Amino acid sequence: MVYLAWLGRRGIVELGELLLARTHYARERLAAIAGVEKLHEQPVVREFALRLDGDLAAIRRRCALDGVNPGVDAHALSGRAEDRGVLLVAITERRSRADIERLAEALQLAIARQPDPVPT
Amino acid sequence: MSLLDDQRSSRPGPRSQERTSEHGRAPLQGAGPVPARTAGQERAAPVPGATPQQLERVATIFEQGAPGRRAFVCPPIDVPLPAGAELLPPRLRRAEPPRLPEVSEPEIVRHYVRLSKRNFDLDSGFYPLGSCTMKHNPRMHERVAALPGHARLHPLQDPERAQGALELMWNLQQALAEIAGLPHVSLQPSAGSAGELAGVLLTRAYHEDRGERRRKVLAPDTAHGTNPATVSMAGLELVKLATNEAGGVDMDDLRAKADTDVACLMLTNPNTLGLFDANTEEIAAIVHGVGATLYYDGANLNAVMGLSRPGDMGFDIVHFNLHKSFTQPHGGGGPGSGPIAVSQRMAPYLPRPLVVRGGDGAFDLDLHAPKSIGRLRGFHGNYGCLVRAYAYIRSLGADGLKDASETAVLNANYLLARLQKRTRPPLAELLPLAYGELCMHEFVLSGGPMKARLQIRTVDLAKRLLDFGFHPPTVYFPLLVEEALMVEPTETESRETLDAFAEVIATILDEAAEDPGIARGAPYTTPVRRLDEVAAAKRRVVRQAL
Repeated sequence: MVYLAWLGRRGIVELGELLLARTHYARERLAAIAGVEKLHEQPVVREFALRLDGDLAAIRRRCALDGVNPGVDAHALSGRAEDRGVLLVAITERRSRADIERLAEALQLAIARQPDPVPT
Repeated sequence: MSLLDDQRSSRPGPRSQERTSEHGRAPLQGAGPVPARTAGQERAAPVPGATPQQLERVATIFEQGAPGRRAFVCPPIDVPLPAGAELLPPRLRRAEPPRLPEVSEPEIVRHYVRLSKRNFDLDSGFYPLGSCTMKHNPRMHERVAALPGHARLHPLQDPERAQGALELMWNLQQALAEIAGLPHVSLQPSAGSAGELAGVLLTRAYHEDRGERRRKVLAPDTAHGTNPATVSMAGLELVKLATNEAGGVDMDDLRAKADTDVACLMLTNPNTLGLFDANTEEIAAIVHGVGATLYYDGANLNAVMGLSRPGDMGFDIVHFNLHKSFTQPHGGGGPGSGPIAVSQRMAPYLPRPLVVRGGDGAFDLDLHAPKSIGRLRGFHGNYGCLVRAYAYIRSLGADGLKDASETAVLNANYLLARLQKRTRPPLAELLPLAYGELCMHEFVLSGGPMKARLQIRTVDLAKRLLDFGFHPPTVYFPLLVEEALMVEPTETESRETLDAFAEVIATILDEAAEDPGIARGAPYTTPVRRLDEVAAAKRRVVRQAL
């Protein structure tokens, strides 16, 4: 309740708009990387799923070596076969545009450096 | 005319509630006779009529501020957006902003600080709430729990990137296993009742895995109320056991009710009378003799840490209340933590994941367990509680934990003796110990004679204690004691505080002997006077017009 009072009636809306914009930008920015595709075109608010071309575990490990946690392995959460290779990315108000750019660079590098990409 | 008089004259509410003395004296104004100030205790000074806090009209945060006022200033949107982009369809957008407060940060701070001052908490005074172990929470634990590596760790972080947290959890599992005398620990349950539920579900799974469908769970009539609730939630049937004259399990009743339809016996030891059951080994033999499991309700573990181990007594399952025995700020409902420790035969059914250590020394989460009862909650429990409990165990060490329990037992017995040896008024007659002569970490007095001789009930004594800066003990539990008063001082209270508490009990009974109306009208100095608890339960006002 303290946090909601602190955000206030207008602040919570402005925060929502900021998250909406950053999340949209992040999805477009990451989906522009070769080997990354959006799971769908529906609006996203604060998180989104991407399908990655390659070994997701290896990509996540490489990103981690660059000091970036790129997101969650959706299959590890759901256990569903169709979620294999799906990365769930969340953008909070703590992540600025500079953070999004850093994430994109780390992800691009990790995908490009795969020694044995899975054939599509 | 003072400011206080001014305020009172404009607000007649509190004065209109004051009662008339049964002895025909003048209606009590304020706190009544002023008792001697007690050592080490702060209490609101008695004032004529209502106190400033009682006169204060507490507006909700929604009623404060003004349109357009704010605390949070949102950063500007720092990413490019396509022209005319509609990121969210109009049908998904709300027409009006949510009805949240419009207040500045100073207003928020003052409001919540003001609210906090209207509560009684452990940092304000002695809080001898029986079976709740309201011990001091060392401030060092808060510093440790607030370290960024703990406070900002995401629960979905990969195990290889959360080795520090997993090591802490693994070490805590080992420590709790050692304290319980049982080899396997799950940290998942996040409250004592969640630990109980886990334990009873484990029991059910254990029996079903053996092809048995046992329906009954035994529990003494001194059991915590959560025990029967747990049994119902687990789809089983509770069978109550009687209490013998010594305050322990009635062995004849146990023998009569222990049969092959019994899945489990849930036992608190020491029990809620503060007594260690001398027949524990025999109880274990009877329960195990019919193929049932023995469950240890760890709510009273603070009496025996490092002194005895439930596993060595024959218990199969133990739940801990980390928020009681192992410190934590646990007022206001949480957060809690109720890990369980189990014997080898129960281990396959434990909730998952468990924290494990591989041959290479690395820590991981073990999700593979085909017989597990499954997750009890998301993620890994209330991690902050685990950090504080681990800090407590490491800072005290094995000897320190034993000292803590011994001191808790000593404090309880010291306070009991102070009360029972007081002859003016004769407390041993007015508030006799319900069972036994000595106690473990808590004791239960009966207010029955006090009610008969002084015409005040336990609830009156409890409410009057608030005027002296003491939180009341647990009242009217266990149910088998008339007008019960369950006192648990804990090891973190000083002798001066215990002495002061005993003095105040004597003072209240002394004044009741003169005028029982004083206690019946209490409390006088708290932010609100005595509430109509029936009306509060039956005619609840839970909606706030915005």
